Amino acid sequence: MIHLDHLPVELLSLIVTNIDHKGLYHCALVNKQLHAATIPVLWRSPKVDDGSSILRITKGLSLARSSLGLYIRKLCFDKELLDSALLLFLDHATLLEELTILHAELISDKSIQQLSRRCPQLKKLRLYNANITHRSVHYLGQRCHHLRELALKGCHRLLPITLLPFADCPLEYLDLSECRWLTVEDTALDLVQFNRLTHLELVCCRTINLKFIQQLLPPPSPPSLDGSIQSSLSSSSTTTTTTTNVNATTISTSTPLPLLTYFAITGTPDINDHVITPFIKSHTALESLHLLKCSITDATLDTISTYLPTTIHALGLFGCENITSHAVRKLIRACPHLLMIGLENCLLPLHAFPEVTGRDGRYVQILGYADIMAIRSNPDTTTTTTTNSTVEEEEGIMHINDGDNDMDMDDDGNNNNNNDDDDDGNDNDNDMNMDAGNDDMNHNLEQTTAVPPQGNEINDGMDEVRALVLSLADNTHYSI
Amino acid sequence: MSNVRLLSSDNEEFVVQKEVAERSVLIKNMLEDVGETDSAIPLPNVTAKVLKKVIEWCDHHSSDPVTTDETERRTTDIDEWDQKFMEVDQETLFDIILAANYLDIKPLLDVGCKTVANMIKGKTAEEIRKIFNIVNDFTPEEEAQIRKENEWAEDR
Repeated sequence: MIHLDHLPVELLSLIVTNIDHKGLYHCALVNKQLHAATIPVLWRSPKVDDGSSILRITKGLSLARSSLGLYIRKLCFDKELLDSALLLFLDHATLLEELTILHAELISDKSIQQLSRRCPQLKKLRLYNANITHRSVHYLGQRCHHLRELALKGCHRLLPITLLPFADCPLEYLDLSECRWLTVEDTALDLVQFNRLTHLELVCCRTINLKFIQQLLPPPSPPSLDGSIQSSLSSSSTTTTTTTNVNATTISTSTPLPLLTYFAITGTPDINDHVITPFIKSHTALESLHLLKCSITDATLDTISTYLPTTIHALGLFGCENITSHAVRKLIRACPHLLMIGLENCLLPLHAFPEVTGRDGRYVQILGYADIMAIRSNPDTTTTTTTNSTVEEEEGIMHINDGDNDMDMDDDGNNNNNNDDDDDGNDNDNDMNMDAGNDDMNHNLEQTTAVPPQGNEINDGMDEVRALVLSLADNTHYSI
Repeated sequence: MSNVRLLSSDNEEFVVQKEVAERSVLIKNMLEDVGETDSAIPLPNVTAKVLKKVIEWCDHHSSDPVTTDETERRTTDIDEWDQKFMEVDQETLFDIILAANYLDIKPLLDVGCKTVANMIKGKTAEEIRKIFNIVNDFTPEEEAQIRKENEWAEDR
């Protein structure tokens, strides 16, 4: 008769990976065979959730006859941590691959410099609000060549050249949210070198402007707003002159960050359709796109429908006040894999989404999976009639923004123009249209800047936005 | 739909739909290597009793999508049918795990491992020994040392 302890150690290890730390403790005491299978699993990711557990674990490490610390691959501290406590772990955990410190306010160069020296196998590093300087990132980049994930959210003391030391790391995931030191000249320049990057989060950075996003577009990088229009035209048009065709081919091969699947920014009013449209067109792997407080209009939503119809899963449009509910509904129907849209502070009236039930308030907030399914399965009462009725309804409700009705009309006009571009690519025509579009945008800009705080200068909104993006990200993982 | 013949270690032959048999990555690879064949595939590590159970599982799950995502597979709970399927004596349970490992049927291996894990969860070392009929081979000193080193996990 075969017993549990007759199973090979690798199968026993597989079994005990399903057991929590407390259960593993008892397993380790059963007999030698189970002990051998359990200890590496137990120590792989020790649970360090308070000061006393940190003390107890480090005590265990120093008491151990064998090097238990070599089993540690992952450490996650969710409470405030001192340099000295982290150093206790680093003495033993030399094969550490993943370190997360969610409240790193008291973490300084002292321990992070040591981290780079002791843990060259490090693959993922998340330090939130750490008190580190360029000294730390310099050594991390120099010594930890396997870094794939880097999150330095809210690390205020770092410099614009923070990414430079990581130039040779295979970075796939980067979160610089709440960092106020990002610049076009340095940070964006170093950023575009990470051609393996799939996840980029730049929420509440304050300095993410038009120029910054332009760095993420295919070269030649347009020096001005006019330039960006040109590039968006040349990449979209199918039948233009030979020169633009050449441009189009070089563009497709040298797009910065071509693998991006997750992109989140908090924008400024100068980030509009003219820069976001070419960005989307050149990043067709995007699954999760969060454009917070950007001046985008329905034209961007149309671009998403056209270029990301099957890839897009989650969309965050917090504070994008220039989009219409009609375009949102159209987008939902065009993108069958869309699971949720964040529409907080977009001022879209709830009644424009009659399928959404059980919500209070005047404006729609988040459309979740159930809402989206309901909207998708509800046969739209023909586009033409709804447009009119929606516009009327919105006019009735949205007295906050007097120009809203105008904007709807202009947006529709814009869409038509875009179609024209694709079809015949007549340059003069385009310029005319784009000029009209520009005026339109300026108009919108004035409006958005005139509309009360909403906060480029005000800090209050920031946490809210941040929490929102996080919740969206979580939900996506959950629903997929 | 073509059929595949499988031969157990005790020389019992099973005729199975190709699609069902290919839940086993081992068999799938063998079929790809040999191509169309009339001869039975010998499985020297699996008895007829266990093979019958494994085929039953593969048949029920023949149309499942293949999950490659490790974490998703690991966190998904055991569904009701699988729970019923795994209500067998310990020896059969371990035999299924060994067979799933040998035949490379990852989802079945996961279900088996989770079933055993559920029997271990929340038990003390002494209770685990009793359930699985395991003899304690530690000296009292060794046991004390293990308790000291891993004390942090005792109440986690």
